[in-house]
Amino acid sequence: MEVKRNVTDEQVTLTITGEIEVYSLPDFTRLAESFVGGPKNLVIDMKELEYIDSSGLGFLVTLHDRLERSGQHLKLTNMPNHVVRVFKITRLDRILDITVLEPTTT
Amino acid sequence: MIESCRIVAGIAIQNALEYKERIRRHRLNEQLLVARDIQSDFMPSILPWPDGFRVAGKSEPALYVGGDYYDVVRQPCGGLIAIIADVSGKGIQAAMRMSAVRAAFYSLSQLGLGPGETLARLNNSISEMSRQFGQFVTACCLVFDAPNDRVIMASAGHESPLRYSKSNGAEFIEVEGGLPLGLRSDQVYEEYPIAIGPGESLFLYTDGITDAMNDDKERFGVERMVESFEQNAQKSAAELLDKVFEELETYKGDAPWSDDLTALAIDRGDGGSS
Repeated sequence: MEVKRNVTDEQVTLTITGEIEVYSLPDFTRLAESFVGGPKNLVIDMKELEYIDSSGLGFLVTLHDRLERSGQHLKLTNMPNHVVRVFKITRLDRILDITVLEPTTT
Repeated sequence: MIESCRIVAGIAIQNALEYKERIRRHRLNEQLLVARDIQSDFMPSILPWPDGFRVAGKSEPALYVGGDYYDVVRQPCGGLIAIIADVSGKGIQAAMRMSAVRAAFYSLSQLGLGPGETLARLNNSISEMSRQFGQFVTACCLVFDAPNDRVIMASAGHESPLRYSKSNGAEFIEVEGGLPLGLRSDQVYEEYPIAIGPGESLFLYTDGITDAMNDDKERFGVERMVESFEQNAQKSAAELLDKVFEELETYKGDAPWSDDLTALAIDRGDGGSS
């Protein structure tokens, strides 16, 4: 998994390439949690996300709850359809703020 | 001379440390094997069959132990309640939580509740522990109703079950389930009747089946699973599971299981009492 970050006063954007899964999670956890108490919005751009496992889903819910408690907001953007499917099956789309990746027009 | 003694002493210390580490790993491995045996006992070796149904379950942990669970338990009223559950994560942490889920499910099964209320109470019993570790549990719970050719099911963020009928072949049964267990307290889990008449079957599974990877890191996927189910759906529940797991084994080749995988199959046989 690769993570690119873009930090402003108001927003942190983490763009993820690859997979969020149990073995790559600790590094991502440390990075994402370092922004708790920081800028108002934490955006995770999932356009290049290939796969997320249940550990990754659990972490996103925990991160969402921690951010909400400190008056911040987590947004998951550009989610590809194969990842949206996982959030819909688990009903986590009811808890988390998600926007779906728009199909590219040719 | 002194230098030679230093070198020899250094090698001796290094060897002693390596030996100690090997002993530590050996003991850890023994403990994991014990944990695997204990967890294997958690999975039922023989499932009770409700009148008019045949039920079979199968499970493989990705590591020594896993977070998947299935069971069929008799309720005080004489009916049976079944569950398939998947704790997020893998290994020891997931296995420990699975033990708590199993214990809570056993207790709740003796209250004679329906699947929706069972999931609601299971959710509240594990919520506090789960939130601390960011863990959750997806689950499907069902009771059997042979006279009306159906099961009554409730889902907590679990994969949609597959049903086979001669008229429609294999199809996903989409239900509006609730959140996975352990994330939010006081959830409501709706109950849905799912028709399963003579000659029809149901297949409930955890995502380890679709996520199983081969040596080229390609996943087994939903399409292969549906195809495998459809081709074997007219066999008995036990034979169906054997075939699906055989295909998974063949597909993955020498690659390790990427996740715990579990399935529960239900069929009606000839529709008579078993």
